[in-house]
Amino acid sequence: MRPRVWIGALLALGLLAAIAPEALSAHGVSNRDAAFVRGVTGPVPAPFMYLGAKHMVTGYDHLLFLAGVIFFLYRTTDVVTYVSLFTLGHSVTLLFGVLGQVPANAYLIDAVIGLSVVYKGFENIGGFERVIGYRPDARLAVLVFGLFHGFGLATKLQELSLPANGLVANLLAFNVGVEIGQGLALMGILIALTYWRTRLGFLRHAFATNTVLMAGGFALMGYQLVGYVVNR
Amino acid sequence: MTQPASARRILMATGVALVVALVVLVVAVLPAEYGIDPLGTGRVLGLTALAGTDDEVASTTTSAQSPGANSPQSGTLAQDVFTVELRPFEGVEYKYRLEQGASLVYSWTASAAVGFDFHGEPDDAPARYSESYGKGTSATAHGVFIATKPGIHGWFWENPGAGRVTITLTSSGFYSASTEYRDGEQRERAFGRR
Repeated sequence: MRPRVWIGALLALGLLAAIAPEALSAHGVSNRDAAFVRGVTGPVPAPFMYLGAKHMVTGYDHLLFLAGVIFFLYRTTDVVTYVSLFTLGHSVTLLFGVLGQVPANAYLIDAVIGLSVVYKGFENIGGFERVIGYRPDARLAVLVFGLFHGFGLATKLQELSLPANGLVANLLAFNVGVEIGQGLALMGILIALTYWRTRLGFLRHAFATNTVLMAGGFALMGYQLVGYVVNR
Repeated sequence: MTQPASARRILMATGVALVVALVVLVVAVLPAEYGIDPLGTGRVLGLTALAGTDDEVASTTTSAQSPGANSPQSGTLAQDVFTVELRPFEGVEYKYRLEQGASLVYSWTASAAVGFDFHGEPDDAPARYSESYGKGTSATAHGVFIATKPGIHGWFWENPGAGRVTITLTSSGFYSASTEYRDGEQRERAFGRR
C-alpha cells in the first residue's frame, strides 16, 4: 500500500471525526427554519430561495458529489454540460417529488446520495476501466444521480409539511435558491481546483483525494442505512 | 489521469475508504447520532450524550425543584384526550393555554415513532418565536409541565415514515383552551371539564 493513500485516509478520518457529529445532525432543515416554514401562508419567495441556497451550501453530500464530478473536468464547456445535467436531474425530482407527494424514504434516498459520492470517487481513480473493464457513461450517471439528489431535497421539504397555500411558488423559489447555492459552491470548488491543478502534486494527490471522497461516501451511506434500520 | 493506477491499487484504495468509513461510523457517528456504541468509544468520548438528549425530554429543568414541593393552582382542573391520525410525512400541532405557574400532566403514545417538539409560545414573545422544552423522536412521552410564562404550550408531532400513525394524548391540568393546528389552519377544540 502506498504511504500517501494511508496519509489521505488518516486525514479523512480526522476530518470526518471532527465534523461528523455536528455536521451530520445539522444537515436537515434546522428547527428554527422548520418552525418558520410551518407558519408560512401564501408565497414568500425570498425566504424559500434563501433556504434552498443554504441547504445546498451546507449540504456536504451534494458538495462532495459536485467536487467529484468536476474533479477532472478541465474545459469550461464540460463543467457546464455536467452541472446542467445534474441540475436537470435534481430539479425534476425536487418538483415532482414534492408536488406529487411521492412517499420516498429520506434515509434510503440519502444512502443512494452517499453511494453517488462513492461512485464518483471510484470513477475518478479509474476503477471502472481498470477493475470492472467497463465504464458507464459519465453524463448519464450524473443525470441519474442528480435525480436522487433531487429526491433527497424533496424528502427534506416534505418533512416540513409545506402549507398548500403558495406551495408551487415557494417550491420554485426553493429550487432557484438551490441553483444559486450550487453556483456559489461550484465557484469555490472551481477556484480551489484550478489553483491546485497548477501545482505539481495535483495528479499525485488526486488518487488519495478521490479515495477520501469514497470514504466520505461510504460513511454517509452507513449513517443513513443505520438510520433507516433504527427509525423504521 | 496520466498514469492510470493498477486494478490492485484501486481495489486497495476502495477497501481503505470502506474501512475508514466504518471506523468513523462505529467510533463517532453511530454513538453520537443513534446512541449505538459497540466499542464503547461513544461513552469514553462523551458522544452518546448527543444521542441521549433526543429522547430524554427536558423535564429535568422543572423536576430540579426540592422534593415534595407543592405548587398551588388557580383556575379549574381540565381533562382532555386528543387523538389524531397523521398521513405519511404529515405534521400536526396541539397546544394548551396555560397561565404563569399553571401545571399540566401529560402522556402521549403513538403507533410508531414520530418526531416531536414540546414547546411554548409566550404571550410577550415576538411572532413565530417559540421555546422548546424537549424534542426528538419517540413513540411515547409522559411528564409534568409547569409553565414559567403565560402563553400557549404544546406539541408538534411529525410522521417521518411512509405509513399512517395514530397519536393519542391524555392530559389534565389547569389549562383554559386547546387549539389544533393542521394544514395551515387552526381549530379551537373543546375538552371535558371536571
